[in-house]
Amino acid sequence: MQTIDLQDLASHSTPVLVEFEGLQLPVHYRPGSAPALVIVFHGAVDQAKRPLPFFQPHFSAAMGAHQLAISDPTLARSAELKAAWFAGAHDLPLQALLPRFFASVTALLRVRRTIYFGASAGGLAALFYSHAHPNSLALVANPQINLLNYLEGPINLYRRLCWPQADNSAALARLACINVADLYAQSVPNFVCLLNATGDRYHLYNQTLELASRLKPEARNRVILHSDFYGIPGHSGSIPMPVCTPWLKAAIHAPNLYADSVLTKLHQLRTPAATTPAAPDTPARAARGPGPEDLRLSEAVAQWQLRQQA
Amino acid sequence: MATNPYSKLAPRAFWRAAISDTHYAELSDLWEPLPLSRQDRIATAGSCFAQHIGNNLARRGAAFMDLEPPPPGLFASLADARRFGYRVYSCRYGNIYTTRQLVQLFDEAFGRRVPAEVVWQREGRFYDALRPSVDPVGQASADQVLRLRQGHLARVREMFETLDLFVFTFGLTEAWLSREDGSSFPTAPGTICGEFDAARYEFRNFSYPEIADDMTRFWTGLREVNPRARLLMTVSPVPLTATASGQHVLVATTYSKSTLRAVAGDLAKQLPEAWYFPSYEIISSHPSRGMFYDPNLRTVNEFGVNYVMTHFFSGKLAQEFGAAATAAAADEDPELVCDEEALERK
Repeated sequence: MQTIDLQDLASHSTPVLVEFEGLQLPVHYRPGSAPALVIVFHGAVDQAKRPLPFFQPHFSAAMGAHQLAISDPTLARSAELKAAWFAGAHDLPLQALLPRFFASVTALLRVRRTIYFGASAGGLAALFYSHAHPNSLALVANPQINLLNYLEGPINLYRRLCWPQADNSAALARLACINVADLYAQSVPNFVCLLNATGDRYHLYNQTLELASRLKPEARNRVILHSDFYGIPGHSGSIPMPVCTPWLKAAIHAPNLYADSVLTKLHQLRTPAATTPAAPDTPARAARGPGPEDLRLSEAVAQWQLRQQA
Repeated sequence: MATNPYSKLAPRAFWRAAISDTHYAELSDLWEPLPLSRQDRIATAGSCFAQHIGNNLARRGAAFMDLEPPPPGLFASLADARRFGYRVYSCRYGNIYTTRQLVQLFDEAFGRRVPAEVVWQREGRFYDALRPSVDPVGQASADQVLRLRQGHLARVREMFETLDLFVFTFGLTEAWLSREDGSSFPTAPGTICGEFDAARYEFRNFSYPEIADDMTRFWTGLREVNPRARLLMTVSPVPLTATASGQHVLVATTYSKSTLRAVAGDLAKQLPEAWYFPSYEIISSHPSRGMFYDPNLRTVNEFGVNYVMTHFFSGKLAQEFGAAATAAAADEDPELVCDEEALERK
């Protein structure tokens, strides 16, 4: 993979390593035309199935926003590691460095709105880095909130491989932020839109509710908590990407990122979730007759087809 | 201990073990997947539900055939292209609801049949009566419709000659036919275009023997021009929009789907290199409690489609195609990657 300077990011739309403060950060940039940036974190990655660097695919329709997917460089420490929550290691100070990196990217692209997006393990990262970026938005799906209240196995593995000086999780918590509820209990300088699948009860009760319970009342107009069921019980896959897209659209198009504003925009934009097979014109549409644009298009299509046949 | 014919059967053979005591999201062993590789060229046709199968095959990295891709740069979106019949099936034939339509298309593509009536009109525009849904505004002349159809048939011929697997979704038993030569139209005259005339068109609700005979004739013809072709049959779980049978639409739907299901199942046993995939059962059988339908209780929601495709890509197909989910089509959102379940594996 090519290594580039940050200043050259905009001219690379394939995965690259960006030199920043002595580190090489794997990113995959997708250019946009709107003054908005979506920073995309991946969730847990089974390295046996997905080679590093792995990037959560961009949104196909981000309403013109720039998109920057980032791969967690911490995972390269061991093929056993499936999640490191973009929290770095004893010699990889990501939680200190990435906020400066993201600030540099937003300045470079001259964006006015930044949305941090992530699901599951990537959700914790999005919540952390958005919190470090005042007035940004964290759009997260089934996020982990407090790793002290999460599966012991992966936490211990992460601690052992990346923070060997920490003897236990409590010691790890003193070295890195592994409970974003602590941050949000203090203040909410950003905005949050948290989606939790109703069927993912583990995250709903063990993670999301902790964040909700610790918010100060004055922060509630900055935080949306939304729970719904999309047909898939449990955690993995329970919030399909198309469910997140309308929220992203609303966040990009809303006049501001306060909860009421985003919710109102979401309601305005909301369309049926199901895919609609291609179908003949409805009787009502047919009754209106063909419009000039369709006639022009139809003729252009026909002429192209006939040229192909010739 | 005494034994009986059921005592050594697998749990999948017993309703209680396979359904009552199993969460519907965890059904397994619903079918024995056919052998299929990423290199196999796959073509799809049939009623609406077949569109979902084609899209999902392409998304999972299968060699989905698209013999009539959209003109570059003309359409602003995939939805626009699909309105003109592109990126819907492997060729621009629109929905092929009945086996009569299918066998007639095949025969026409290989010069074995010339339909008596191809062009219908509406408000001064001319439409291909055998695929009216691919052209929302029609053409300026009947001649142009006929010339475009010839190009289309050439691509259909190429598709049948070169495919490795043909996926066909049975949709309807009901159709409208030309009294002159029996041509089967995908829509009733007068609904999208054309004009209904009872002296020229007749309603037909095809029976089991007719459908089985049509499909067998098609399959025999296809194997003649392409001996390596294989066939995968499914039945659309989408109920009838309307019936002209005189029965209540629920009763007519049950007749239609039951007949198609029976034909597909029997042909999968009788024909060489033919399989049946139970998407119909997954979506529409009562253990799903209708949860895979939209509020109109007719169209299938995306979760139903995804669940069907999860079963499709099971067993050995999961090994072949399982990791390809991130290669989404350009206009569709990719899946959220979350190997969270791997965290709990030792």
